[in-house]
Amino acid sequence: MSNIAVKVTDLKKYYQMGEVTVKALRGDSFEIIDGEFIVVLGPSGSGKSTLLNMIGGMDQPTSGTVMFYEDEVTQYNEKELTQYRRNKIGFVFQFYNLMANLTARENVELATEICSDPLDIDEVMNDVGLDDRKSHFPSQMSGGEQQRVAIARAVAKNPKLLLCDEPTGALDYSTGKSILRLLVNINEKYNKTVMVITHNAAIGNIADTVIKMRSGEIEEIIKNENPMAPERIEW
Amino acid sequence: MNPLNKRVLRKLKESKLQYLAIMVVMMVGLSLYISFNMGIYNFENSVFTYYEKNNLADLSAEVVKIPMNSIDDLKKIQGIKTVEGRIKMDVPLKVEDPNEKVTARIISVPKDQTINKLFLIDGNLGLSDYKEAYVIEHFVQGRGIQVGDIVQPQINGKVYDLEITAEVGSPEFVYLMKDSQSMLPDLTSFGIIYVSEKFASEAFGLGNAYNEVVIDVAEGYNLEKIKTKVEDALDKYGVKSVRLREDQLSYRIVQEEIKGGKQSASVVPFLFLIVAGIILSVMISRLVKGDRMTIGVLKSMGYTNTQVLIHYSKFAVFIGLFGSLLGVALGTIVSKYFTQVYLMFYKVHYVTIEYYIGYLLGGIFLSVIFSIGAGVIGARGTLKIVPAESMRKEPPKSGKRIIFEGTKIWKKLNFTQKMVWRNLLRDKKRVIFVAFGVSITLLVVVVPLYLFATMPELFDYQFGKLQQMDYNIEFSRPTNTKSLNVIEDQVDYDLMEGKLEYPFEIESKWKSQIISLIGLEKNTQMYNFEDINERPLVPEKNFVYVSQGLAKVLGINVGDQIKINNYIPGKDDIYVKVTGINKQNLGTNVYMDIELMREGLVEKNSINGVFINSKDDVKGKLEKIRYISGIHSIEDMSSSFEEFMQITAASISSLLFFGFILGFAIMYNTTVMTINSRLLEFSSLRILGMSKGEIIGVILKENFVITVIGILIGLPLSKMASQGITDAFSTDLYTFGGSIQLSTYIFGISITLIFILISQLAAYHRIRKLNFIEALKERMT
Repeated sequence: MSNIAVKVTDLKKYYQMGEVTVKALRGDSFEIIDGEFIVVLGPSGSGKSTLLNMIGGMDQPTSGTVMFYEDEVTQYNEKELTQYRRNKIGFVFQFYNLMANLTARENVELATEICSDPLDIDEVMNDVGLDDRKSHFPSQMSGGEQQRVAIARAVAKNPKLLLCDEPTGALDYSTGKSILRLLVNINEKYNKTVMVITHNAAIGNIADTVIKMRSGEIEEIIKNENPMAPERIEW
Repeated sequence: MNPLNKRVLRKLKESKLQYLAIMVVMMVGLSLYISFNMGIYNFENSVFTYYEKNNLADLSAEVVKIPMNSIDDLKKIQGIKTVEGRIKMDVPLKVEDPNEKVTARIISVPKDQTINKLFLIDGNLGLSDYKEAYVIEHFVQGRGIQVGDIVQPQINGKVYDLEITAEVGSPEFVYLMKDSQSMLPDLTSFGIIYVSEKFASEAFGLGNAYNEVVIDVAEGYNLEKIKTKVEDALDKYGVKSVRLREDQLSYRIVQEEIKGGKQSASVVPFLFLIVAGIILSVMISRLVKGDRMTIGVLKSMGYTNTQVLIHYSKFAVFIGLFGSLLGVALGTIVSKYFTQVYLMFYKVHYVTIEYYIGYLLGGIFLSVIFSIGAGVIGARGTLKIVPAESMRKEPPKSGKRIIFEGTKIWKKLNFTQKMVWRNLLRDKKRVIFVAFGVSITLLVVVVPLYLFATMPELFDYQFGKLQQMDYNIEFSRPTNTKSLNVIEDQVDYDLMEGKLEYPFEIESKWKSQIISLIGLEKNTQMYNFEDINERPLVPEKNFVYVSQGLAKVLGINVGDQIKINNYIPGKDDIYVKVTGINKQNLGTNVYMDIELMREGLVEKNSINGVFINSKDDVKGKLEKIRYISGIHSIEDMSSSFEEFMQITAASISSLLFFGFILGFAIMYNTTVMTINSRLLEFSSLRILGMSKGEIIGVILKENFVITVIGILIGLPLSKMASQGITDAFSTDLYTFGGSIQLSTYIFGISITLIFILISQLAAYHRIRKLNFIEALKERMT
């Protein structure tokens, strides 16, 4: 049991969107092994982002549990959830969500400021290939570079789990592949569990485990014995 | 520096004009707080130091005559430390222009003066028994005379040449007015001349007697009780009045000034701080709304609610802190000039201008508290943001048909007009916020305009409506009504009425005040009395009217019995029934049937003044009549009023300037904020094919409707604020009031529209620069 990083049991999430009740998760269960590279696959509205938010402690489920190693995240109060997000989780978003008024380095620093055991910022920025772009503002960088900053921001916190929501969704083909390469490298070099959610089925080829979702339910969990290198996948 | 702090600074820089406008409002508010408080504090300190060092009398009593050697008897009253006698008389002063009527108050100075000690400004103290005099500083400056010049008082028909050996100040005359009826100081036609006791007693023929005593009371004694004992002790000498320091005219005016100053200090700065706080709070709440996703990201990284709240509150604290530091610096500089403005009107010595650290720190503390409050209120929306929800698009607001849809008028509107009305009725919060901005702007413009318009109205009412005489002539002593025949022989007149005017103490319930009691012919044509609702009052037999200011202070109503304390020997105190409260903005008086006054208070058939309506050269023709001590024409009053108005205009202009700052800050910020929050909407309209001009047209139409709403709300608010301010500033000497004229509203609305136009131009410039298409793609915060 000790190598299970995340255990999700019968997770349900219903929420109100205007006048409509959305059943985003309908009782999903699965496990993630420590150090794995997981891809959650599914079309828009399948509940993957909601799942990611539940695991990341960004939102509370309607019912069900999320275990992170020995701890039940779904039992956490507001303060414990904040500490959990601060020290255990790193987020990467589709649209980077960088602070426009801060340089690349300052955006990373923003994350390391508050956590207990951060990595060296300059080393991480070097690893994501931004050594010479540290003092640039987001508006002075390309989409790929901005996503690298977002990844550096998540990794520099030294979290156990990296949650990436459509990290290549806003990028072109080659930049998207370079970002995937970066995520794989981080998974390997820093031994981080990485969970990527995407609607792009090709990306599933680089994962150790693929979780396929549709309409808030897990359709299939596929174990991939021989994950491909990001450079080799096509879409 | 912490990256979030850097973000605060960079965001502030991004919207610098908006934040700067608030900072200026904050700065003005705080500088007013500092300068008002320190100015008034310095003035109060200086004036009380002056009173203390030069020993302003605690009590003064006017008598018909008291032998010099009886003065010491008063010292037997327990608590009285020192008593000094003096001779005091108002006499005409001979000046170059024979038509100019100047009054000098001659006051004798004891050899070793210990009470109301004079302050030497120029020349030397030490009067020879004859031919020398000191002149009060106001008069020296007013008439442009100097030490070494000769002054020529006419005493009992004889002109004396007195050389000015010193220019002096006195704690008794910090503010120089002849009496409370003078309304305004007139430094050219009234002055104080100090002479030796010997000269005064010989010239006035009083022998070894005084007609006034001034008293210094030891600390800790009840002044009211001592006053009563003094009244009793002086009864046999024909006591006319006994005044406490509080009843002394100059002291009273100084006190009223300090009171008014403190009221201003406690109201005006807070108005600015509150407005700055509200705008700041709204700006931050808008910022938070726009930063929804950023807040979600911060929370996803592990930032706590408190950390996020503090981050957004820092915008306000920064503005507050910088605004307050600038305000403290400006206020400290201005307070010095503020005190000096006081000193232009009030002759105070031993002036100390100090900077009180308490006010400086208090000011900073105050504005930081306001800013923290504004910041926390504005940023409290961050607490509600759930990180996961912030990542999702906000659900569209539930769309509803607006109330007018389907009506005939609605069908006649074109597309953009419908859009304007839908926008207005669907975003009521925004409409209320901007309309509030317009109404506050109108308020801060109308109030000073109202005050400006009220001033001449006060005087127009007093001298144009209430008082109908052309000349008010005062006698130096009471005479028989037959003396009117002498005047009749000298001038051609349309109307003439004798009058009686004496200071008396009026008592009602437990309150009392010394006022000028005026006896008038019943059915007098020299006064056109109205009650406070401007309904005519007809003075019939035994009428007793109390002016509104006095009625308010003493709590007198129509039908009440009031007691008139009579000091005149052989005459008793009387009780009279009040038959009317008369509208009167300036001065405090009781008016009564002259026959009733003669009967109960003074001598039969006596008068001590006369009112004349005449086109003749009254001043020239009456100047030689010995018992006439003063001739005041309506022109005299209007010229001194003009001077007064110039000073008032300057201070009201500064209020209007502050109003402009407030108005601009409110309108500019509200407009820019609404534009920023609707960028996406405007971008969509651009994509649909609307030009920038058409979009601006929609905004202008919306703003026009909101402006109309704001003005409609602002008009009653302005009225309430104007009334509040006039109530706060009214004293028993000046009663501000009257309704706001239509022209004031029209002028106020016009100025408000100009402010709105200027701020709209600034906003228009901003809209033109906006890249609508980029806004649609914007995902960074």
